[in-house]
Amino acid sequence: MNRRHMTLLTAIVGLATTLAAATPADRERLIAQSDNGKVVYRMIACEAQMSAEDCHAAELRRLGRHMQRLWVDAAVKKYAIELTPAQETFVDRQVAAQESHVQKTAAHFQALYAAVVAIRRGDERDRVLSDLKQHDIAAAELDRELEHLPTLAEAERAAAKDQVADGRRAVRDYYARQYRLDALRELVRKRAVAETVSFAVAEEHFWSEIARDTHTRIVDPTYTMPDRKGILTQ
Amino acid sequence: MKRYLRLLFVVLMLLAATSAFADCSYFTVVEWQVTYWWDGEITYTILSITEYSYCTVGGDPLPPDPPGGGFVPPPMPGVSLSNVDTTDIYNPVVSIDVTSNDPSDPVTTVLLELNGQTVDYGSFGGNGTYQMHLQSIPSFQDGSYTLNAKACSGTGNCGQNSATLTRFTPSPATDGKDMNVAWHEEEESGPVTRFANYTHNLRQAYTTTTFSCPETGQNSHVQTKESLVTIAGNDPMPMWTAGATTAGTINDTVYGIYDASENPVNCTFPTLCDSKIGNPGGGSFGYAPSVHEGLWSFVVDGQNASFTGGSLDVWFP
Repeated sequence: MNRRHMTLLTAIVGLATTLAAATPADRERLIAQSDNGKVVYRMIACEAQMSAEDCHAAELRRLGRHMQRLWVDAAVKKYAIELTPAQETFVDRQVAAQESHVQKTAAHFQALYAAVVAIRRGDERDRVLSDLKQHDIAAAELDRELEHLPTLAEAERAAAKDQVADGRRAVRDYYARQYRLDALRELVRKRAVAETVSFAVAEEHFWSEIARDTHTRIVDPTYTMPDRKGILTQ
Repeated sequence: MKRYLRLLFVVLMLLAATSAFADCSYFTVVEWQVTYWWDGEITYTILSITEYSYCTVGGDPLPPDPPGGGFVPPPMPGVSLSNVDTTDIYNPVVSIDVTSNDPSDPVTTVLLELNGQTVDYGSFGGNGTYQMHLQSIPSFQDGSYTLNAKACSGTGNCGQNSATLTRFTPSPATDGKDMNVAWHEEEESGPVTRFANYTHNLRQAYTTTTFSCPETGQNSHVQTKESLVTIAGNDPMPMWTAGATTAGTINDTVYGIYDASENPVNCTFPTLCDSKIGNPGGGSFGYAPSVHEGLWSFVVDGQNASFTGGSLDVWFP
């Protein structure tokens, strides 16, 4: 192991923290930002049981997904990509088809957030847990959510959210995103032909341009900019 | 001498004839030699012909000749491998019906052979059904095995009857479902719902055991073996656990499905696959069992997910 690897490992071990151990300031620590959003530590924090190395790898993966989502949204906006009426109809059908799952999921999360609110208000954990049994929610899931919502205000904000509407939005985003990625893929493919470069090179140029346009930067030096290739082949 | 192989067969040919008008029988014994030459030629040489005649004194009629000649083989013991009882797959019982047909040379031993090797035997105690024991069904590897029931007299005169045991492992039975998965992910504004599709597949291995003779019990008809479960989808891939239960078997089992040593299912990028294997110990046996597999947990990016399509079933006919 050379000195560079040792330094990196020391940095990983030294800086690795989990959401459970994080102070409020740590939770909101800025990791990366761009014009259309930012990533704070609680958005990428790994699980408490992970080793330092696994934790860092998981956090990098999650950071990458957040950044890529911001870039895709920015690219869709920049190139005014919209779904065709036929695509819209397909997405609508998918949203309707998922309604029962959306309702079930919403009930699950409503019960979970209500439990977090109850605990933040001082209710006994055991009593709350027994109420959660009917929703198939185990102690581990409640504890994980308590890490994410450490204050009563945050818990109340989550509990107040319309989970059904949020579920429908998630289904719509999932299916619409596939059409949007198709459109961006076609755009990059045409660029690759025009510039006589490979698709991978054209894609890297494309996302670098989007990253520049949106002033994307990594604030916390522990983390690195995600790969700008392969987003359109996922 | 060109001949390198010479076999001498002496064939006693009994030619019998009975005159319709006299109380005499005539026999002709022909002794010949058959030579197989090196180049494939076969030659026959008659060595001697001797004629015999036997006549009754006092005009008593001769008993009628048997059809085809005068040589009468002794009656063979009657043997029938009538049934295999696989109620207890670890101690299958083979039923053999025996009849000792020759009072002058009675059956003394009843045997069961497996591929020519004696696996069980007993002394003859009268006409009837004898029960012989066979090794446990799970100990048979895939293949076809000959079960030979035999009853032998003291002079080595044996009657026999065979059946076949076949162990066969076909392609695994399969079931699959699309999964709709939702989980919460932290955003700047707080937790938001994410949604994705995955596929959930089960490949259930099994081995069948069949007999060419009647079978009772039939608990070894299907032996369920390892369950291979695969979750396929795109990044982010989940962390998941699963288990399986068998029903309709001798010992219904519950077992966990754990990481495979290497991923046995290849997927084409960008689809990612994650496979795990579970095994019901030495196998679970039954006539028409079923296997139910279910996901115990499904975690995406550290968040418990709500999902559909989390259970799969296979039934064996």
